Amino acid sequence: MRILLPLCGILFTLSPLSYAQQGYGFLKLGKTQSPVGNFDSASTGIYGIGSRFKHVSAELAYLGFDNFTVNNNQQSYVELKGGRFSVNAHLDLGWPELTLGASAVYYDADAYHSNILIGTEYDTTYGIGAGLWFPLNHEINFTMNADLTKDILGQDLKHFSIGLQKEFR
Amino acid sequence: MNSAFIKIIKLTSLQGLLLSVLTACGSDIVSSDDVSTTDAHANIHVTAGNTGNAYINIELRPGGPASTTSIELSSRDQLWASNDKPFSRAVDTGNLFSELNSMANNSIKLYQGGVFNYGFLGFRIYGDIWYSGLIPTSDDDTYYVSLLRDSFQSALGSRVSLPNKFSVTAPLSNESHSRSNDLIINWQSDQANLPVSISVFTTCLNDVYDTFDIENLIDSGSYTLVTTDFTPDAVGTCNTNIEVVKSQLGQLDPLFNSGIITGNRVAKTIFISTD
Repeated sequence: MRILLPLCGILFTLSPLSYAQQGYGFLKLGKTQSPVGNFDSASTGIYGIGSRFKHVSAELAYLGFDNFTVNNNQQSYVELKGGRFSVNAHLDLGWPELTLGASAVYYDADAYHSNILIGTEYDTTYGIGAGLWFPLNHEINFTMNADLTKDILGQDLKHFSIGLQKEFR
Repeated sequence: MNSAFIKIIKLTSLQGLLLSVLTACGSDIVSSDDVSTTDAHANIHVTAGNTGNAYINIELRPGGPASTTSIELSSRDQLWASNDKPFSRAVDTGNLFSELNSMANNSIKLYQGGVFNYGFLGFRIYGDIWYSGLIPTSDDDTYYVSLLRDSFQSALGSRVSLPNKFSVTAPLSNESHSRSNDLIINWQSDQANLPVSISVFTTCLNDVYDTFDIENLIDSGSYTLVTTDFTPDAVGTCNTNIEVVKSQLGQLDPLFNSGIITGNRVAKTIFISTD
């Protein structure tokens, strides 16, 4: 919370600024896969809000991970929750746009073995990402991203995600 | 006295009698919250064949081996078994993914058996209580059993290695032998010279089920079953299973008051026995 609250503040400060520069605010819904070796691939919901400037966007997202279960062992799993603040540069290649970004990630995890809690960990880390940004009609955008988040519980998590943005001007 | 009142009296008496019988059938149980580790007696057996998982079985009793009371673990105490190291609460949380993957492959929580819940009026009938589980076998065949406790000292370091794998070389599976003749059982002996026990189970089409055990044999590699070892009730063609077991003592955690931990290697054969 100590990290998320200031980030929320920054985001709400940025939004009016983005309007002033003919930008917009947006809501994002996405879905991602985060494969981890020896674990069943967890499907993750992304729920974000953000602001778009001319060549830059900032987004605050909640990552609602499903449980990472050890392969074929439903009683051993990691419960992972995360919040991500990312800043992306938009490079106009025509259609779509290319995005390159960096992110700060807060995560909170509980690990269970035989349904017994064996460990808890929370920390902050960072990531990088690249993606494609497809402006569609009706102020809706489609996004595709590949992100790498460093060292979450000893693993570099790779996320492959798709999402939809709704603009608010 | 009217008949309805007499019926109530009879019913109440019957329920009282039933409660007495149920209480008499059950064994004594004590919660682990009331028994320190240094007052607990532990019987631990790890058993495996040449393939498949190892079976872990534990009985805990307060005091010594003569106790007829079982210890039931409270929700704050746990029994774990591992095939690579003693179980520990000290987990490297910075590497939870790899820690959890390792634990999932190498350790199991042991679950309680032996309590029978009886729904009538909410009574619980207890048999002996044990804790058990199946764990994948490891290359070095050494197994650890750890008692994690909340209010008393944990006993994490009980361990045992299993005897080497071996086979029964006679009779071979699906051979046919007459129960009227002596039967020589042969198995692979080795220099460890561990104590051997043999169990023989025979099941017949005439619903005869016969079992007997021979214990504390030396590992000579051979034992002869005589005709009188088989029940005369066995008639016709029967299936006879033979299990040869080699046992090895391990090191029980010294925090226990007393007890034993054994590793047992089982080799089996099944053949057809005839009149």
